[in-house]
Amino acid sequence: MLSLFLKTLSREFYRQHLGLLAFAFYLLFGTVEGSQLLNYHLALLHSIAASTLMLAACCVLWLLYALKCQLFVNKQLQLEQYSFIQVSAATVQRKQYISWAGLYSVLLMPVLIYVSLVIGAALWYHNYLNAVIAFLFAIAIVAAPTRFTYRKLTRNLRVFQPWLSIRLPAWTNPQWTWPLIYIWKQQTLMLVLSKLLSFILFKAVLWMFADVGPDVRVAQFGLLAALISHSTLVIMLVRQDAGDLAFIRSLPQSRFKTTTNHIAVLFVLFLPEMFIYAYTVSFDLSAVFAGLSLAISTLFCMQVIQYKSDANSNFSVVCAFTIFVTLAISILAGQLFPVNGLQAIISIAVYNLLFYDTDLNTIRDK
Amino acid sequence: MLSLDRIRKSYGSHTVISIEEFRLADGIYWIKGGNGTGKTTLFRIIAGQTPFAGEVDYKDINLKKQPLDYRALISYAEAEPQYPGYITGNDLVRYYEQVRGVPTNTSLHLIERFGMTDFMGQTIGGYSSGMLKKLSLICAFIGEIQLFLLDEPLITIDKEAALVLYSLIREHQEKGSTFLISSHQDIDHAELTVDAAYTIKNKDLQRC
Repeated sequence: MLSLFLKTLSREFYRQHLGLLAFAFYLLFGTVEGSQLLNYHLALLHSIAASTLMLAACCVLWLLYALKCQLFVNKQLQLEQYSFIQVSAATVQRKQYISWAGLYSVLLMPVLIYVSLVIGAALWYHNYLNAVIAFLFAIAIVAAPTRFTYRKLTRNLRVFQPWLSIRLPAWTNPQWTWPLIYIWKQQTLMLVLSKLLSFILFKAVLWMFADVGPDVRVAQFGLLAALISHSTLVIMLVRQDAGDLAFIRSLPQSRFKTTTNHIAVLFVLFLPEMFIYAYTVSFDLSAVFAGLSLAISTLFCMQVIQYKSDANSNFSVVCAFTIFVTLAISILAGQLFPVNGLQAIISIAVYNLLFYDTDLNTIRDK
Repeated sequence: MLSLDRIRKSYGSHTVISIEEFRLADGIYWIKGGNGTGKTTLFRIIAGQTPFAGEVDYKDINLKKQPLDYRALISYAEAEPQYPGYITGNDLVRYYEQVRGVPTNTSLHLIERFGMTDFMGQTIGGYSSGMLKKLSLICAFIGEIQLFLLDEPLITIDKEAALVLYSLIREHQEKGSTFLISSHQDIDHAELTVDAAYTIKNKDLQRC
């Protein structure tokens, strides 16, 4: 059972979150000069192991990641293609717990590795309280989602009232707003989590490069981190388009209109981050425009990649990584406009040229 | 006239549809065939919902070369309609009216005939399968459609709704529309006269 979970859920999780993990990896290892890297990490580990407050701050970040893992599994289990997992509820309780704990251990691997290092550092510096806290925390972030998923699968006949239900005033919703309503109403937790992660990463980048002084490239790096945090939401939008909105393909709606609708949705979705970015660059028009072009062209490019990626290939992973590296270099070189222009032209051209050749069934079944 | 030329559709290495040449004059046609024979795939090809090799023309308008003009002429009601559960029936109907270029509320008579007036303000997620099917049929009949593709239109709807459907088909046929209807159930010949029946055998369309 565990191997099946790993082949399906774990593989899909890492495929969807590669951009985020690559960015975290870059923040940890790419922003420090090579000769100081070891000392930097030892100092970082020491500060976390020595201060309970610092450890608590890290625990909040790790908790956010654990919550993302749990939400991901929850979301996948609601999909038709994962309905076979419901059968696992028929096996003995112990086996179910072991399998889910195994899956969450793999999903939480990056966090668990770092927590292990923190425990080691805390023991080394004789800070036994922090070692115990970190150890208990590691157990809790695996045990809690394991228990939750087990209960969800075995007690799925219970009716739960939504804990967050916001009623919008009744009006006729134009078609272009439907994906936004979908995210707002049916992916509320994922939206909240993505936005939270997006703001944290944006701020983290600003703090990390605080010694650089006022440089628009730092804010643009923050924006790039915020964009990567939206990858799951973009995947949700594409799945929605290929599923409940697939009927539009047989209607006389032009490709141009469909493209502008997608762009409008992405713009509205990313508006809060754009405002924070604009505030950070003191509403400098040129910088705001550069940020806007980065945001819209990258989000649309991420969306197009999802339409073109095959379930069994690493196309989307390779593309996401290449784009991330290219954009990072273009920010450093101060060449955002030409790179984003090119990215926008290629994305729109690919989307429109292959619009009717895209089999939405394959996206739906991924 | 509907023309299909050198149509090939495969899923992986498995070919589902292979039609060399097929012509269909205006009229009402019944497409028969057991499960998995490719009826829905054929409908999805003609509706422009799935990529395929070959050419589809209706009234000399090519699906691939004039995608919008072609889609303006056809209407496809799926066997198992799938719509966003978070929008209301009214949202969907307004969208169809807008995209079909007809004035707002022109579909009110369709809604009344199918007995859906009281449910149009509700979100589609709360609809029963019969209500969902009725909504898809309402949407299918919005606009000046010339070719209707009705995939299993009789499943899940009640007898009254079936009678409404038959009468709508007759009304549109008198205006010159063509119908391709797939159905496992026998079509009531007292209500509807079918010009010919076809079945999909060996991936090809053959007259019964």
